[in-house]
Amino acid sequence: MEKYKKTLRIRIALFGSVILLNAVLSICQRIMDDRGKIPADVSSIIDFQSGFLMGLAILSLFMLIKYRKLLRDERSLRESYNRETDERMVLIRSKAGMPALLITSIVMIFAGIFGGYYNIIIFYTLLAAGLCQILLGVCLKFYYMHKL
Amino acid sequence: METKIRELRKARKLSQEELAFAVGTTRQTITSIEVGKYTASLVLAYKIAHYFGLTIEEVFDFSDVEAADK
Repeated sequence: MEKYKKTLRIRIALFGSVILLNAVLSICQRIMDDRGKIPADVSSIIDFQSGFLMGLAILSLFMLIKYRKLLRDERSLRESYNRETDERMVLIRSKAGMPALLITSIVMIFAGIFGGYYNIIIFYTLLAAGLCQILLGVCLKFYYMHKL
Repeated sequence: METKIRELRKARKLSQEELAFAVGTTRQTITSIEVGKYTASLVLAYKIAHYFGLTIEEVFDFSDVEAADK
């Protein structure tokens, strides 16, 4: 259980970093926007990037609060540990391709954002591919949750 | 695989959630094991049997496995 507590503390630190990074990027973007440094043809990419990072930051905030609460309550911590290490859930996640599918999807979306600054088609293609992967992973997870 | 977990649980007035918490798993896994959808691993089977103070063979019914081997 001490190992799990350590894992949660690392996750809290990671989520905190995501929130901080989002804040820094938002400030930089606002400064660049105010100075007129952002070309009009990439404004849609910038807007998507802002929204995506904001979504990640909000999710990170929820997870950070959840994990901090868990660290204060031993029973909830134990229940959370049981949920994460449950062999059936581990098998379901493995069959659904998690977390590899989720990680590659997020990498694709970020790659799409970077590529979108050069060519908008790259952005739409990678975004669609990333979203399809996420959808596939979710469908597979629900299928195996029902089957097992 | 058939099991006697439900009967053992009800005899001890234990909920699925309480059993799950005690053996380090989730209520959904206990449900799946009870209805025969999911076969517990050796470790989980041992934990469940040990919790009830029985052997694995007394909790889990291996007659299907033995019949398949014949």
